[in-house]
Amino acid sequence: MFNHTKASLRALLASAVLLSGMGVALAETTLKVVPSADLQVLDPMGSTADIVKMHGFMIYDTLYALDEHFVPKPQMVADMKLSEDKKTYRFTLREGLKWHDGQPVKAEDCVASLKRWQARDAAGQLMARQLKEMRVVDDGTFELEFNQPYGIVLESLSKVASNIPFMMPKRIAETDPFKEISEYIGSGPYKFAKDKWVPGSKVVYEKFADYVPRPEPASGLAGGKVAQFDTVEWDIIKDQQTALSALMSGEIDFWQNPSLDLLPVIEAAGNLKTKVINETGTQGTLFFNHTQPPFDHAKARQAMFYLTNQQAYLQAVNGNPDYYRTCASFFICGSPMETEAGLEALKAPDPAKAKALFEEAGWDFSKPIVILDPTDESIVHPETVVTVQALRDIGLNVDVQAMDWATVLKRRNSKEPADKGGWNLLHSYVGGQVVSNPVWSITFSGACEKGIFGWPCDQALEDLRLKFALADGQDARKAVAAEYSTRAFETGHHVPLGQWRTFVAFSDKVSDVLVTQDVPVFWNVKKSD
Amino acid sequence: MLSFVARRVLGLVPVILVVSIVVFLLLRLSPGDPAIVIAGDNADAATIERIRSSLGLDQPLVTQFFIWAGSLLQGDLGISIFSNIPVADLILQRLEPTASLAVTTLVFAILIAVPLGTIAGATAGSWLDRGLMLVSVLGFSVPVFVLGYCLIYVFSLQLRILPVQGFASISDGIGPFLSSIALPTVTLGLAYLVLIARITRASVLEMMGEDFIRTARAKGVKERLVVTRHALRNAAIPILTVIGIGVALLISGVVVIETVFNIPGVGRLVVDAILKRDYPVIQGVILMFSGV
Repeated sequence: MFNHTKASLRALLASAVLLSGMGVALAETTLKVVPSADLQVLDPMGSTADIVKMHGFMIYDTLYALDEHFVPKPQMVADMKLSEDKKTYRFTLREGLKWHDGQPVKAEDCVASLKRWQARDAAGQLMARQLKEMRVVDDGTFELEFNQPYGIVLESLSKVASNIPFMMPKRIAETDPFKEISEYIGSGPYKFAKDKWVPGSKVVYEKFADYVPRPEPASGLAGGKVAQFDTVEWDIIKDQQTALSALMSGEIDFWQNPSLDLLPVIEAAGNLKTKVINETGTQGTLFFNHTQPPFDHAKARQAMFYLTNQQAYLQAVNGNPDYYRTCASFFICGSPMETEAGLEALKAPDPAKAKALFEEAGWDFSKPIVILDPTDESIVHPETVVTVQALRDIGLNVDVQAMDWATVLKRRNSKEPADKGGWNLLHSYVGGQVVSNPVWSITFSGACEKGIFGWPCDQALEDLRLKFALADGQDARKAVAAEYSTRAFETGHHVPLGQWRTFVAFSDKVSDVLVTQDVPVFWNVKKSD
Repeated sequence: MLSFVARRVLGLVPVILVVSIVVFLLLRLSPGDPAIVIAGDNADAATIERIRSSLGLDQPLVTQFFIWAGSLLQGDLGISIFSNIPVADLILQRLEPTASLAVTTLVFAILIAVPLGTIAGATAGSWLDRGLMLVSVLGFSVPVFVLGYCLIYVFSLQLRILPVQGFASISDGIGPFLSSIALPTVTLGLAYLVLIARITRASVLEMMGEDFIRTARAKGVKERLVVTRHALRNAAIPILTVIGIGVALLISGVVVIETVFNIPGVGRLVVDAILKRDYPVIQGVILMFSGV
């Protein structure tokens, strides 16, 4: 009898252990996300697309990261010492950092990663030109030595505008910067599950158990990154209505880019929440072809500033005053470098003045101005329509050429005359972080053929970009940003068309979504049962 | 039989050759550049040029064609410019959902359309016949995406008995598979169903007036058997013909259905590839379909 009871107890205990094990398996948690686009490129240096940046933040870590208030904070770095002459930065890595293959993160990995980044990124290239040497001191320490004090080292290492200096193992970072890497090993809070990746349909990330979060609370992209889910799954749903239905039915938890039109439906659903995670948002832009008349003349370019009614653009693109704002600044409003210097024209549109400036530029109003119109692009097309009407209102002849976005991307590199396959005007939009200062991207370049399409050519602007990078401290940088802004209006570099915010939508079971001032990240996010 | 198969296979060679040349030229001569799409908005001309060079897109067209054709002769469809995954693997990944949807739609449409059309034909002029034909006109007129959203609203959001989107492989179990494919099948199948039903009705109706039907009735054969054994059997040729023609209708509808129900099929693969100018993927899919 006793033996029988003992055997039963043993069986009961074994069952309990088994069931508890099953319980653990059943309790595996997954966050299902619908991102804004399909992930096709896996190399964070291979593309500047937001989705690639999101992928980067999932699996890689950065030396520094911006907090919610745009302040660089150490991330992989434990300690930084700046030499007295302000030319040498010594970085010591946090202890216990590991790559996803289990190897320790070393200083040589970081130096190799920085070299790869410097080959691809505008800010990285600027930094590389000022660098005297990057050297490994020991496994946990490396130094950057500059020819002269360089003011934006930490800002560059924490920049959120792509390309971002993500760290990867040396053997991977030594891949030709212009060829895609073939291993996707980072040291971030999640690992990329390549065997579960279905391009165009699904991307899966698994929790990296050895990740050691920083002790500070998360803020923006900085602070402790705590992976709360065993798996984060990105389901690529391109149709807005389908994504909305999937969110309402509970099939997905988080949706990155609902259309503003759907806001009332989401708010009325009862089981969904929305949040603005990027307060600065996105800026609309009008670009000139500086090499072709009439916009080879500064007066004609300035005319477009007087012709720009930001309210009209924002109403066409966004339509909800709660989510857009006019902003007479080249640098996104709400960021530290916001300045209206030289941009009075944007605050008070004056079509008569614009017409007079076109006449001063000697433009024959009967000649067509060629505008590229990507009719498949939901932001650029409405921007184009507003510009076309404004130009026609002052008597200009406009040739609107409809095409798809991929064709615009190709065509905008043409330097041919506008009537022979070239162009005069085109529109676009850029993330707020990209236009948060004059050096993060070539949007602000004046480097002629080596710069951005449209080829603005002005050495003074290039000098000011370098001056900004060398400036010591935020106040000095703000002063240079104002100088840049004044000069950019004088040369009619490009026209900012105002800015708008978007929102993310998620189940009311989801909480702790971070305000990153850029793309969403999925550490720290929680989901209740 | 063997010589017939051999002739058909040999006949494929010139078709694939012509298709491969035409598709290659059309893609390369149309505007757009994958290097620019990859490089993104902030790239300068030098960066774009280096990416183009790394992809081999800076080579003369003839060289590019022979490199691609050489790989093709070895059974290699190339590698996606964006995902770096072999095109054959991408197509294989996407084939099951598309093939599953096509098969379930065919089965669904035929199983319902033929009996309905037969009943309508055999009872021509009755309320049942008129009702079925009214439904068929409606079914043919409603765009598939509208019907898809309506079905999602009713069965997924209100009744909550079927998923909104996604695809479960048959290897995940017959239950999840049928659950995921049900709404797309009904949505895609409806137009196909009404087409077959109308042809079946017309064919059966025509047969019902034939002498051999009168003879069968005169011999005392039950009406049910007259319709199924005599009228329907002789009406089969036009029905089979329209089923075959309807497959083209089905393939064109697959792209829309795959988008509405978020099914990772071949249709979405090729549309995405066209939008990004992923040349190897577009070429691979078109070649595959031309071979089929």
